[in-house]
Amino acid sequence: MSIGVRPPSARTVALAFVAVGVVVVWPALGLGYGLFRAPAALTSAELWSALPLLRDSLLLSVAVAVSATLLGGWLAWIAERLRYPGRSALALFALLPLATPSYLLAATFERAQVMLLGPSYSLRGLVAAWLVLTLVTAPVVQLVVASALQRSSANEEEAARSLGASRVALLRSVVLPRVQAGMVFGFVLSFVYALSDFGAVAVLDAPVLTFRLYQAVASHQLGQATLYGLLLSIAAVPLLLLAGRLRGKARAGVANPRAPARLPAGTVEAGLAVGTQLMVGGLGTLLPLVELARWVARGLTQPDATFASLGIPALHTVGASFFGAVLTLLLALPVTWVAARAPRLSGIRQAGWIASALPGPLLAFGWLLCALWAGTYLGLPYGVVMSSGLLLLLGYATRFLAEAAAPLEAGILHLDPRQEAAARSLGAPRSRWLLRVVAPALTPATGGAFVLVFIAILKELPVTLLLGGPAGLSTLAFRVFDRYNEAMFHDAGLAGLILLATTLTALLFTLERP
Amino acid sequence: MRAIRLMLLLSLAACTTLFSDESTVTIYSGRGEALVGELLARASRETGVPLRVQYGSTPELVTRMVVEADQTQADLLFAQEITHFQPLVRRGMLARLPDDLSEGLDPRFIDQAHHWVGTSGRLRVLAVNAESVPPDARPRSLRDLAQPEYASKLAWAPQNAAFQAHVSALRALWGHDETARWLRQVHASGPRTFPKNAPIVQAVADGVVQMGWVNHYYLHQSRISNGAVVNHSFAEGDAGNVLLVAGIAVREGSPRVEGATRIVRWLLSEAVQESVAQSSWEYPARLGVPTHPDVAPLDPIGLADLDPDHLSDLAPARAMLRELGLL
Repeated sequence: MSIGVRPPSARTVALAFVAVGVVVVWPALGLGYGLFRAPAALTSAELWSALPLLRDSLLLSVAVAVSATLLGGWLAWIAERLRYPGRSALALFALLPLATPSYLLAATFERAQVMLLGPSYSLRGLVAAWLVLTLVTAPVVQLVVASALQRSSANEEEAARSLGASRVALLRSVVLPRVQAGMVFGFVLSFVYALSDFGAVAVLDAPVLTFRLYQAVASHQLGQATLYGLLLSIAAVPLLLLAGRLRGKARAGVANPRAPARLPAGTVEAGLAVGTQLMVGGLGTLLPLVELARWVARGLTQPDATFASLGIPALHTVGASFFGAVLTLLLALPVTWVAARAPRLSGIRQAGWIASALPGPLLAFGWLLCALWAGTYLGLPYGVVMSSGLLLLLGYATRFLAEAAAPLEAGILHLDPRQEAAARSLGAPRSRWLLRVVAPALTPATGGAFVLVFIAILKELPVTLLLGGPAGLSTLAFRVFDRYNEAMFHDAGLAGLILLATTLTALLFTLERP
Repeated sequence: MRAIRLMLLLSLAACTTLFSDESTVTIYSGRGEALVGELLARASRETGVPLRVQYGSTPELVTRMVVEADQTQADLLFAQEITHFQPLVRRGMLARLPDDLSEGLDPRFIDQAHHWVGTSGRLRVLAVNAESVPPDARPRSLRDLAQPEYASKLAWAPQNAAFQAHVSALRALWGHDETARWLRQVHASGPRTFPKNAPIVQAVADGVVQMGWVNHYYLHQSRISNGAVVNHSFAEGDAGNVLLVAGIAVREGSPRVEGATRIVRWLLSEAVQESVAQSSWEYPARLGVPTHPDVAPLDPIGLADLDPDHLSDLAPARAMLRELGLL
């Protein structure tokens, strides 16, 4: 840690532990309570047959994390450091796959193969899942790394350039250390997303451990599902610990950094940049968009096909996403502050990562069991707790703590220690320093974290279904899933188009900011 | 700031949480909102029973009820397949329905122990690409699907509960070993696996596969067809001709049994059965109610001779599919 950076106060540390206690420990205790009520075990045969699935889960997740980090890093670099025609619009276009639910992208990916390569062609299984999940997660990396690049000062890069450093040397010695934390966070987010995904792997017939876990839930064996989840979490721990170490030492930034001048891209470089952005946006958004529009168009030509009103689902979606994102951010702030500023307590970060790696239904059942426990032992009426919507928001916070923490921690690491030292030497109380110096400096990171979580909740399904249903919630993602399940493609298509439009609006509002 | 303010306003408007009174009947519905949303709204209006519906997949909702036990909010469970009632029956969580509810119903929709009652049915069929598989080239028996010429053209969905229910039926009709052998043979020819039925029908229409082993009504719901895809049933009495029944049950101990039973009675009434058959293309539970004109009546098809009890527990079928590497 740089000299002059104050360690977190005891109150902040306490707050961070309370936040992790609420978001991570409670649902875990809930699952433990479930196991206590209905003990479960995996037979040796079940365990042995699960191991190849676990291996494939890890292989797929690591492959997705590596490719998404490279692709997302490249997308962020070209968007922030190169100059070529249409750069801003294309950068936004490449971010749009954030809005696409993975199962929908997987389904349209299949269809695209049929349309472009003929019915007999079929790339399915782990390789297809790897491609689809990379497309969905690369924009997350792009957002996190771009935000780190925006906060990097021009001075170092320009000095290196004027000293004749090659682009490779500049990238390796100056840029990468600045964005290392962002890239590691992006890697982790892609990894936990792929590890907990069920939608894309199910559509593309890529058997992984979440298959087995979902079948256990469907067979009413929640205890077994918990054990599979535990297996998944334990297997992820070494990589998440390693990622915590790779985050690198904090390299403090400077206040109000001046962005370096963008380099004019050569023809090849510009072609490559435009090609990548078009490919990511095209495959990740345009294809699903065309497919959804086709479904809607088909419905329009059928006299008996009706479209259900989308007003309430749209309102519910925006409401749940807004409040869910606010609560997640509030809980993530003390956790990331402590993780960034107290190296000895940085393990707190990994706790959030592990929680986000748990598949949605398991996590939702963890919260549901908490409410049952509270009903049994504390006398809190279960029905009231469930219908209050509080559990839903807490469920979102558990699921997306990592999403919120990544941009926030990257932002905290880039705070200028000189400002802090100046505030201290001028006798400014801590609260004033936080309000007048830290809060404005963290605004872009907070905005980035908010939009990332907001969009993630927009398309979230398992937690919404289990914990939102009792609160009377009906979202757009549920509408897409429900109509798609019943083969009412025209209605699913319309809900999907509105979902994409909402995400685009959220992105436009956020990216408006300099 | 303007954006944040706008989002806040929208969110506040959205947070109109449904507060319900003591008489509100809660339904856990594994049947999709698309299928039964309007129907249940009508049920509430016409019976005067306030309803609150929580949707989800049937297996997950049953798991939820099992976990919630006596704290569950559910008064009614509306299940996509009657197979899902068994874990609740075993735990004594379903109330006995009045005997007269079953009067006038097709016996296939009646539980002898009166723990549940069938509300509508879906026929297992082969959705066939009409152009690439002409009528004389279509299999006459489900067993024929084990032949590589068919299996390689086939799509199926082993993770889907309807598929698992049909395997359960096959175990009863053919026996465990024969069913396992048949599944192994089909699997060996590499059919395309999908997670659910809807995309299978789409894949048949697109020509990705030539045949899909699905429920009959997806073809109608998808509005894909125009004759490009047709539902094919097997020879009379064949094991491929199985009717899967959707049903409803009242929770034992529910303080709103009267209201819940009134909803069940309404769903089984002749007028509602007629409207369900016409609007959702499903087979009605009540005898004498006509099917939709686009849906083949059951009589000439000839269903497999199967006791509904054989569809009551999916666990052995799931275990078999796991052993065969299909789950």
